[in-house]
Amino acid sequence: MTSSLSKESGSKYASLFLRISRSDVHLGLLILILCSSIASRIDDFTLIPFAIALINTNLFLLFAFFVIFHLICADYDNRRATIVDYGVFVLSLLSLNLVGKMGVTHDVGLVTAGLAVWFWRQRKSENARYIALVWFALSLNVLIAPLFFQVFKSFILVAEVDLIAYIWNLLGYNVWADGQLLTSASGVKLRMIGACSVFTNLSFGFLCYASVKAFNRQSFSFPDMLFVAVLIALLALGNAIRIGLMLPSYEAYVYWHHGSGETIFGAAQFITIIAISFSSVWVRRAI
Amino acid sequence: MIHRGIWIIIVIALSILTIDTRIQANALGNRVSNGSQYYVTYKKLFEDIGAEEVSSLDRDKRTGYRSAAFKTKICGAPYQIFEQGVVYSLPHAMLTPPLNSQKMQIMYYDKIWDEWDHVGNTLLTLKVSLASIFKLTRFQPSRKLLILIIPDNCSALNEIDWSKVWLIDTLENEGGAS
Repeated sequence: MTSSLSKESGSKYASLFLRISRSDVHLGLLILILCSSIASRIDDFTLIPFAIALINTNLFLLFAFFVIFHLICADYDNRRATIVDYGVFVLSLLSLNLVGKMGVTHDVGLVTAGLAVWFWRQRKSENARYIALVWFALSLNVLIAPLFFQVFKSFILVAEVDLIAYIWNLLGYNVWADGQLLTSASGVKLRMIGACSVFTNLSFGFLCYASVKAFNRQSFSFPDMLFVAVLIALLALGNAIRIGLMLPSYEAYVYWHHGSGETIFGAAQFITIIAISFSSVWVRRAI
Repeated sequence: MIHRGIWIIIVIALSILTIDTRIQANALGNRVSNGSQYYVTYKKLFEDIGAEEVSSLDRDKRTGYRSAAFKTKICGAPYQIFEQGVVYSLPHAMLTPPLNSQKMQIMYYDKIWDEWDHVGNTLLTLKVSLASIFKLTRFQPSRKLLILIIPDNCSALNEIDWSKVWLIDTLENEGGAS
């Protein structure tokens, strides 16, 4: 009697999971990853800090999550989730929780990279390839780019300093580069550190670009390489100009480093990324 | 419809669990720099050998974490100690003069290295974190280690047992473990 009852309740639970659609499983996973990303910026689990962290989350990151949400809903797969879907869900959940408990910081990136590969393998279905593209761009932003930067930081920073000196010399100003140190004719010296590098913004730029492409269901093609190259060049040029503008005096440094100039530069960078991303979509449609 | 409702409740519960894990992981990373109970411990270790604190910064611009300097009776120049996260490479300030020209010791749990060993540090982080889940370690899991800059012509302070900084018992006595 007891065993038949337990079998009955067991089959009820099993039937619950058998009736969940594939899209619902993937939407659930999307929510888990979004929560984990936002929570990485808070120290206290109460509603207000969580809401503030959500508002302060980078707009490109939020847009990427929105695009995945939109793509899953637009191509809603009503078929029942398979054991593989649940496997992906459970593996991601374990990665976010167990690896997170060990204090490893790249767990979100590892999960998004895994999902990019998984969706790419399903690319024959309508939106899967676009979802894969956004997951890949997120992995690039939270895992691949930070790892690459850590390994090649010293080379990247020195190259950026050389570029800044070259551009300002072309404009007729005397700026000298010595490793990571920039010196101007006014005597101001700036040492380039990781936080000043344009590198982080490049991966955000690509994230926005990929999200806009996926949102408009356009796959990557050769012209996109050119658009991404232009985006990288403009962002690098913008950062070089901003750092050069810090060199004339201490007041200039304060203004462009953490004063109103930083806001102006941020807005200009934001507009550049958005403009290039949408231009590529319009150009493709026109062609 | 009811199945979907149950699934939504499951996802909300798992989201709360994931947020809680992330916040715990954040606290793990911040414990040294914010809680400073590690600072209290290593300060006491210095005082036990007769050294006195010369300076202390909650957030040293060179590394982004707490640093302090202690002067012993024997050595003329102060020993500098930096709290540092387990990252891929040393902070830039440690790779350039004057810090890179001095002898360096990296202390993490019960290990001491003379050079930066990212793989070794990471493996030790994972080992202690994993052991702590099953309560098989006497250390409080932490992603922060200590870097000691030894002045020229001064000894490496081998008499100090640095592992005490990460001991659960020490932290609990100081009120630091949470």
